[in-house]
Amino acid sequence: MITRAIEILLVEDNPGDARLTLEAFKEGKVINNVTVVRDGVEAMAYLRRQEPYGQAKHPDIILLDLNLPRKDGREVLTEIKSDRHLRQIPVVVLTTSTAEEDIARAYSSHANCYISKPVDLEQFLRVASSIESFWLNFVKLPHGAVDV
Amino acid sequence: MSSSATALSGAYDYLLVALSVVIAILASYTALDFAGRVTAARGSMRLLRLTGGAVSMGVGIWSMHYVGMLAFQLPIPVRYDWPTVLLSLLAAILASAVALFVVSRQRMGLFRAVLGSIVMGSGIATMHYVGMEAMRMAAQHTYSPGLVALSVLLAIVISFVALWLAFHLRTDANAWSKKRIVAALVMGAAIPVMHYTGMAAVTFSPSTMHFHDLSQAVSVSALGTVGIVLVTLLVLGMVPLTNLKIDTLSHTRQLTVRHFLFLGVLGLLAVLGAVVVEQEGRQLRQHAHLISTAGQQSILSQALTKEVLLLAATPEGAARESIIARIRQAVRKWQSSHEALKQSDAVFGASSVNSVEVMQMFGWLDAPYRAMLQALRGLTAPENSRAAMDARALVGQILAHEQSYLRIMSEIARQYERESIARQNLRDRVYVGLIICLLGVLLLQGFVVLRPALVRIEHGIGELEQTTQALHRQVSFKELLQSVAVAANEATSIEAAMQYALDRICAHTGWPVGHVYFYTPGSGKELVSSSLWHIERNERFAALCDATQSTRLYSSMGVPSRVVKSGKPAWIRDLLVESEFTEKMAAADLGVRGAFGFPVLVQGEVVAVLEFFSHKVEEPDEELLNVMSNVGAQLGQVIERTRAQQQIARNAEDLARSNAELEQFAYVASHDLQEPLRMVASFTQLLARKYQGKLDSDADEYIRYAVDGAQRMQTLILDLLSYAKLSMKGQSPQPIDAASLCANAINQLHQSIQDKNAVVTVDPLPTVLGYGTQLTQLFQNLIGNALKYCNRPRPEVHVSATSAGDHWVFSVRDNGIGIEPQYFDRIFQMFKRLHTREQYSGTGIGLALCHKIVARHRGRIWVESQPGLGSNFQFTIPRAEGALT
Repeated sequence: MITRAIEILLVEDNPGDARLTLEAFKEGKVINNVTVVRDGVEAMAYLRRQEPYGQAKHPDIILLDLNLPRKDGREVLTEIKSDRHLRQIPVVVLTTSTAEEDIARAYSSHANCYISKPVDLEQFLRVASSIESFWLNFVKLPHGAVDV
Repeated sequence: MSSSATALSGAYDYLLVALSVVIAILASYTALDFAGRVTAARGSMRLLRLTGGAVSMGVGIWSMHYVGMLAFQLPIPVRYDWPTVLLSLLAAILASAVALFVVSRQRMGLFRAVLGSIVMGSGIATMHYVGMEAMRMAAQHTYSPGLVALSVLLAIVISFVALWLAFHLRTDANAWSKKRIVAALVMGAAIPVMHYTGMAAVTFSPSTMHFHDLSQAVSVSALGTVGIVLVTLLVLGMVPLTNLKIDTLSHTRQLTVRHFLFLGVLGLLAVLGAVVVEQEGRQLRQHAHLISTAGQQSILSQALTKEVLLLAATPEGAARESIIARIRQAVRKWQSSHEALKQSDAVFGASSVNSVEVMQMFGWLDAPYRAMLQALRGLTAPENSRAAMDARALVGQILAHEQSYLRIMSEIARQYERESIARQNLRDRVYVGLIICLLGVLLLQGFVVLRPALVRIEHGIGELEQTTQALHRQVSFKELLQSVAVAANEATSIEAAMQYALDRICAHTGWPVGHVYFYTPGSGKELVSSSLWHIERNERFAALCDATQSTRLYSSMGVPSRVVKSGKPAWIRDLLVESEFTEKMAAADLGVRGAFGFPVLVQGEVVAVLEFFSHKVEEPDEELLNVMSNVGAQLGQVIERTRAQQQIARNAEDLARSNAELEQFAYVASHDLQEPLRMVASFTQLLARKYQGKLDSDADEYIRYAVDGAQRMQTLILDLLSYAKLSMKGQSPQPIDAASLCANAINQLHQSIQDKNAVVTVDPLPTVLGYGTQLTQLFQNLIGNALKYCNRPRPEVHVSATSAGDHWVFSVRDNGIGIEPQYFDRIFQMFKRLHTREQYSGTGIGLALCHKIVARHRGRIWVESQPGLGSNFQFTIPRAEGALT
């Protein structure tokens, strides 16, 4: 059982969505630290601990939106999954898109999970708690990933 | 010869009688025939036919009369006075003319008929009795008045019948109709009745021959008979033959008729020749006999004289008696020979009579002959009567007359010889005449039959050649048209079709150069020379090619501008003659003479001109230009079709683009709309969640409305999004198991089925050709509706499918609230709802989406329903094995 706080990287350009996600995780039972970055470039910088994220913590899970300014979520996913040091971090694609094409592409880029953002708040909260319970409670995440 | 009161009995030669009847029938037929022909004719033709008809008919009647006369044989020679004979012929012709005139009038009343028949009958009677008067013979004829009157009456009655028949049969178009032939037979039989009655009326009694007008009397020999008969038969026979309405016959039959006519004439001439030869041979033999008899007669008379002298010198006794016996015998022979010579009778088998000269000589001979005969009889008389005579005186009488007898006898012999020579000369002339006639007939046949036949054959061959050529032309034109039409249909471009047409037309006409101009009205440079050419020999026409393409001068050379102006094909037989000065120079430089061109028309407007050049003068060919017009029309259709195809392609492209843009827009719009909406919905919900009951009741209500509105808006956008997404993908339909699709749909609806306590049953479903996601959506919407619009405690939904031809009919039946029939169509329209949101939630997109899905599967959707009992939504989907494009 993980005793320390779970580090979550939320890549989301919409502050509303980010806030909703934060609210959802706030209601959760697991102690977590959610870091929000606003685009793909920032996300990669954070993951690679480039400035201004020199002291960034290695995330246990990444929640990735697909439609992002500057660097698209799809590119971010491809970069993460082709990076030897980052590829073991589970990436949950959390997006408004329900396009078959996006879903197929995400999985073929080794996304670990694809979730469409529910329109309803209740459902959204349910999804957030599902993510929490599944990824943070049941799934064993690699520890080696923490320090590379 | 002394006169006698006893009547001469005549005999009939029945062969000639029959011949006379035949001639009468032919004459009657001719008369009837001419009646029609004269009636039909007008003006000078009428006069000509009237005259011709009168002559042939008159000759016929007259000839019948004379053949009848010849058939009547008297034991004495008969001659005819030819001026009188001609007079009788004239009477016959005039009678015929009157008859024809009467029957050819428009109307024939009784009065006219009677008058006409009296004139005609009198004419015939006149002809008959004048003909009788022409007879010259050693006999008198007396008439029985009663029979004469009867014969005249018969002539008039026959004429009346003839006129009546002729008048009523004249319009009979059929020359050989039964009626006409029967009429001719009746008339032909009747006419001889009159004649023979007339003949019965006459009695011949022998009398001294009157020599008063023998100078113009001719005997009718067998030769003459044959001549009369032949001429008559020819005249009468030719009329019906020429009357076969030859003009209306086909040319070949006309020639055949003529040919047989000539064969007939040749045959008659041959028969005539044979008869003449036979006849003349007999005559010559007779003459030889006559001459020798005359010579013998001289010798005999000399011998008699000698015997008489011997007798005178011989004394009484046995010797004297024997001399007397010899003299008697010689006298008998001498006497019979003399009579025979004088009469030239049948003793010698002579059928002809002595000539006038010979008869006169016999007249002179009569006196010495009688004197000598008398003296000889005296000398040879029996002894008792002889004593009375002076024997010496008798001898003297014989000697006195012997010289004159011998002289006259030798004169007669010489006359016979002269006549024989004359006859030989005549015969020679007849021969020559006959041969000339034969040659003439042959020559005429050559002109009338052979030449037209040859001309006809030549003409026919020429026509055949022309027809064959025309046929070849037609066939090659047709081939040209067909090949251009086929090429035009298969052509990938207008240029290819035109090039093909240029090549084909040049190959067809043999013209070396063909060229295309394009015509764009109102563009200033209206006629533009294209790069489409057909050039047989490059080096020769290279100059033309360059000139035409490089300068405007030649592009307007004659033909194209004419074609554009008239919109029709144009032909210039010689550019050097028929064009403007500058063009003339150009044509001369370029070595072109003939030219033609035709337009390519699109909806009656010239869009191009095809022009062709020849290096020689060419005569206009209308037929070719007609074909070219058709070729132009074909090419016009190619252009029209190509333009239409281009237009369709452009339209399709535009449509596809605008559709894609629209769908893209709908997708993006729904998507982007969703984002802010989700914010509104999420945060109002969050607000409700956190502050429900913490503010006042108004605030709670506001929040509820905001949440509800946002939620409905979301559903609407989601539905719109799925509707827009339908046409996004251009995937091809796949065979899918409908059962599994339906199962998916039911699975999706699991929650609401449970909530509504519904029963959904599914029959075995087929495999269909379609888009899986869409069909799942279809089942989901229909079953979802069935569940939603139901207020029973236990909703029942049944899904089934039946085969119908090349598609399946699916049915989704429920026991729901049902639909009023007037809404059966409306429900499938976008945003059309039948209920308020308070009654049943919904966006009005669900069935519109179903309709669109079915339409994309080339199917049909409809509903059958009874309000309160339930609805049955049915739709068709193609079978898996059927094509879906």
